Amino acid sequence: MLVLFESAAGYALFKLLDEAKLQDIDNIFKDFETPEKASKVLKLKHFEKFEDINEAVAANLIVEKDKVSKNLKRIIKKHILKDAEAELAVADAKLGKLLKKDFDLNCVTNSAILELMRNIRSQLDSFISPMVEASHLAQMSLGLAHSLGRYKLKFSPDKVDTMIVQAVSLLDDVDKELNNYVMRLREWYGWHFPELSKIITDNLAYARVVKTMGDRKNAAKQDLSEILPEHLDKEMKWAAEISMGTEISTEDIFNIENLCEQVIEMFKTRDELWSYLKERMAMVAPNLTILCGELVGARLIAHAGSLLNLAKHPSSTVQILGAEKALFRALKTKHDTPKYGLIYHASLVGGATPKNKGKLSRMLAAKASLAIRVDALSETSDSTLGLEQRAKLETRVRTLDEKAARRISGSGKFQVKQEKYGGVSEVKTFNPGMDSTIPYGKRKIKEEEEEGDEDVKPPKSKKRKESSGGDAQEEVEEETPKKKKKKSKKETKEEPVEEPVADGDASGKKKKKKKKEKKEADSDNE
Amino acid sequence: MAPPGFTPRGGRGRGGFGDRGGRGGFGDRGGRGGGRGGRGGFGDRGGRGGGRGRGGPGGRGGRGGRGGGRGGMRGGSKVAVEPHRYEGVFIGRGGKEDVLLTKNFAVGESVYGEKRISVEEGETKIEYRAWNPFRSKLAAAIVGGVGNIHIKPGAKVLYLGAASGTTVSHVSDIVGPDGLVYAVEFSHRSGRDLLNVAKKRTNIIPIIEDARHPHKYRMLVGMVDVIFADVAQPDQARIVAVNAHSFLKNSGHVVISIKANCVDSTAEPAAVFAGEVEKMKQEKIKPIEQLTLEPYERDHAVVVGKYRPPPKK
Amino acid sequence: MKNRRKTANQNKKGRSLPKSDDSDSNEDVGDIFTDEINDFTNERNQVQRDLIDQPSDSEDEEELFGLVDDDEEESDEEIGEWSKRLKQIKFQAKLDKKKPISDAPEKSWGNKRSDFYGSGVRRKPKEAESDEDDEWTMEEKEIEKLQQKLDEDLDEDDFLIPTIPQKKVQEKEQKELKIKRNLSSTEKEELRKKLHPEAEPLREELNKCLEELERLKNLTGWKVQSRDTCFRMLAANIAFYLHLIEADEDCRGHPVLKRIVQWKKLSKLHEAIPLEHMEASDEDEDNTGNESVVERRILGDAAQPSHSAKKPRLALEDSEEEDAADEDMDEGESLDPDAELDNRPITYEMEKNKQRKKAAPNNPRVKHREKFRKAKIRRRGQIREPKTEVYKYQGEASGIRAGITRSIKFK
Repeated sequence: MLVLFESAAGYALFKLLDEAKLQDIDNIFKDFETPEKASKVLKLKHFEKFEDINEAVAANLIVEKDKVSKNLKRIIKKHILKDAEAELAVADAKLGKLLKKDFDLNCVTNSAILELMRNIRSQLDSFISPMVEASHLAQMSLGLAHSLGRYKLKFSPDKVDTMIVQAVSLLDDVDKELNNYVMRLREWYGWHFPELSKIITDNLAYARVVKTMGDRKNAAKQDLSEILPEHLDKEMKWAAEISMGTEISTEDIFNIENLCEQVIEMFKTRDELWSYLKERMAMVAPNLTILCGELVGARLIAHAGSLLNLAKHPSSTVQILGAEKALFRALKTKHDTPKYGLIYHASLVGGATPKNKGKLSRMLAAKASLAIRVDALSETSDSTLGLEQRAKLETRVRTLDEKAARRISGSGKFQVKQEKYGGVSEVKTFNPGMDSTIPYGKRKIKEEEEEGDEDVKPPKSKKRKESSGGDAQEEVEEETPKKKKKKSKKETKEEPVEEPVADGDASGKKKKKKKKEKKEADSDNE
Repeated sequence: MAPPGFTPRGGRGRGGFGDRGGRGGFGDRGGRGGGRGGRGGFGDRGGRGGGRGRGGPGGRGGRGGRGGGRGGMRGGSKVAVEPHRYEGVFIGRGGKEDVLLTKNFAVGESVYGEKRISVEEGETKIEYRAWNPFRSKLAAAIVGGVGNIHIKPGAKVLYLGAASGTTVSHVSDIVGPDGLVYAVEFSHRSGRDLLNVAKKRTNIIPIIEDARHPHKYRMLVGMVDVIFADVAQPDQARIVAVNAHSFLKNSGHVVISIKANCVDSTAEPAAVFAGEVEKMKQEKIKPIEQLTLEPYERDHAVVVGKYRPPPKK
Repeated sequence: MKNRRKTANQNKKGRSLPKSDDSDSNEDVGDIFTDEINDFTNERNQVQRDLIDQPSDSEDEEELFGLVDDDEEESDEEIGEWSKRLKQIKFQAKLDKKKPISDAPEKSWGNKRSDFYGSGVRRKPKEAESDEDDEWTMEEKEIEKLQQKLDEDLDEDDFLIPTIPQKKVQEKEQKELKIKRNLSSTEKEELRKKLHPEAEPLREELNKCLEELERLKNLTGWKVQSRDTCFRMLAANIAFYLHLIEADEDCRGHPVLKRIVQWKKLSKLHEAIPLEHMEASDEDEDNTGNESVVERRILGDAAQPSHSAKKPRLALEDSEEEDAADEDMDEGESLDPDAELDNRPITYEMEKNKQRKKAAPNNPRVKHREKFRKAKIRRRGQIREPKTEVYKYQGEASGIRAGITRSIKFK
């Protein structure tokens, strides 16, 4: 009988010298107490070594797929099939069936065989020592175990979040360095041509200009159309003529140009790094990228340490990640905690009105934490959730704006909230600002118009209406023509009165004053 | 609204860990993969540090940080280290409290945020890691007073139910560079952490397979001296038996941690333990001793047995 | 923060001040010719003003609607007049009302808590710029109040002069003492005799004892010895007492008297037995069964002199020395019937002092409760209760003992 024994180093094929031993299986261990005794029972017929770990992994896993590995095939073809009556003892029943199917080989697997295997294992070192050293075997088994493990865990190098963390850190470093260099360049070249620094605000353009131009005398000759826009080009050339900077030598120019090269190189690397980061983010955390953007997502991951770590945080933490200093300060002094941290820089939050930023940051953090968990813990990388959430959020942003807009009209779903009557201070002050030298009639119309302009803003308290300096009549008139005024406003598109909604009541008077004056001024102008 | 596990950058983690001191001082650099050396505290765990595989155990360090203004082993306290009855295990006698220690195989790293103690031995500095009996059944058994654990330096151990590698790391410390620990764990989450632990310690061989089918990892494992089983399954006796038949040498030892609730939640714990012992006997494992793990665990017991003992003449 | 507080306070005061000023100006300008109504309101406002005005005076603030201008309109004289009249009226009103002021200490100091507690140091310094007139009027008012209170407190008795005769008594006593020092020796003896009439009989007693001792000199035996000791002690005590008398010392409560009584008693017992008995029984050394009842009693009594002394001790506590001798006689007669009560031995219980076990409760519920409590204690001794890791593991509080094995071995 032949015995097939798989090890980390390779396949070992033994020949069982004494069949009778299998009957007395309980005492077989006595025969395997020493290598000499063992060699009397079994003889190593062939040892098929694995060349590298990948082979070993493949050999191990291929049985799952109901296939026989190449090495095994080789052994069988070479050594076993020659012998017609050969019986092969294998440890795995599944493998036995497979071999039977493929090669029509009689395979045996029973408890006796297992006992035999156990004994072979105990003496394995001695058996295969001529072929394989013990240390090599140990190393192979370790490597094989790790590889198998990684395979099992579906470890993909794409999904390593350490890259993200490192890339973001590097990005920050590069930015800092770049800023330093550019500042240095500006300072240095400013000695020769100071005006250029003010003309060209863009750093990359500056560097390129300086590199191509060198000395400012060459300004006129240069064709900088691809670097600079027209007007800047003109300006620069003009400034070059009348510049007050000193002359500098060619070596200086040379060194400055070196620096420029460095700067341009850095810009290039930064761009490459940025695109790399974007790519990686899309691989590692696609849902998060869709929701927050690459940079914000990467910063969040870097801040938390790893994606899994970030997934463990509740959404409230995700909301204020990055604002720890403000958070703890507020907690200590019992003030309001910050509303947003790193999330503030996400496009969704950035595009909202200041009043809604807080709300949006909370909503975004809630959705983002879900997306993060999906990214960190799911087996597959799927970005459907991210897209859905993004769509939801955007609709919500829109409804938020609408809500604010519709509330004043008080129709449909969004009824006007009747505010509770609060004690109104009866201290009346005389506001000289409302005095106007323009005759009464005109003023009235203008006031009406202005009341109409305020439709966009949320309803004010009575006090304000009082202090508008108008009569009770005007108040009544306000409400009725409001709708009409709104429409008219939209049609005519009057002056942009898009003052931010967040301004409180306190500045209302001043606003009205300003508007009135504006209107007066315009009317005067006209 | 204070977020848990938040530590200000560069600050010390909660729990008051001191700096790595001289004689017997406590030291801690939170977590693994803290690449940037010299920066203490929990802040830098793997964030800017070394590379770690996916799903690295980032949050591990913070777990231990919370709470406890009790006395005992505070950072910077002096500890006298003396060897335990078992080889490879040590006891640290501090001012108020004693702690179980193992010599750190991967010097400078904390696996699950446990305390490390550095002791100067003449010229060299030896680092020990504290072993928490609340977290580890084996530590609970040792502190509880088991007769013999059979895990010693140079031994080959098959560890079934390795989980995230917390106890496995201590076993690896005990067996040292000459020994081997085959850590078998089926769960993928824990498997990731186990792989990371095994990266740092070359005497751990991680096996991400089901322990019920030892033939699936027969290529990786040689003959072992001790099987330690902490699988918490109802059929754990059978699992251990099957693995013993495949990999455990004659006269090898078996250390099983039995959770009564897991095997049979309706029966009395004592009855459950007796049942398990019976099953072991049937599988040719002769039970030597049994110990309950109070006060660390409830209704847990550790049973030590000998596999295929030589027949008495 | 502090600024805020100040301003708040200032606001408060700002609002309060106009009121007070208004009332002042009203009173000054308006109805000085008193109405009942006005009086009433003034009195009512009086208290409020007192409470408010004091702290407000200390602040330097601008009155919001200050009517400072009003003062300038009127001349100072007029204001003075008005304020004087006001004071008069108020004073009158107070007298008329006759508030019964109790003897409570609060009334004598002030109404405010700060008058009692605190060091009296003013936290907010008084502003010198404040109106002096107001200050003075305030002070005046306070002074009047205090005086009024004091006046009401006074009685006619307070004006009495202490009587003289008491002094005379003291002089007399001193005189007597003086006389004593000039006594002659004969006069002293007389005095002594007067004070200590028992001295003579005691001397005779002493002589008797000495005679007895003479007789006992030559005899031997332990009974004789005890008799001998008894008489000796008696003699010694009497001698000491006589010595005290000679020395003119105050021996009214001296413990030697008790001793004399005790030994006297004993000696009486001894006298009851003729000498021959003592000698005769001397030959019988082992006295186990041969003791006569009388002897036993004597021995028993002699062994416990403390018991016999109890009675005289009790008697002597209150009486003078003269009574002691009389009581000696009395006690001797009353000894015998009281013997059983006096000579009770201590019981086994007293000697061993064993604690009595609390009996198992009759109530079964309580019994089971007790049982369970005991069972819990026993269980805690057997096993350690499983604990969860509440605090971060800091080590084993009770130490790790490597040597002991607590596992159960299988056979």
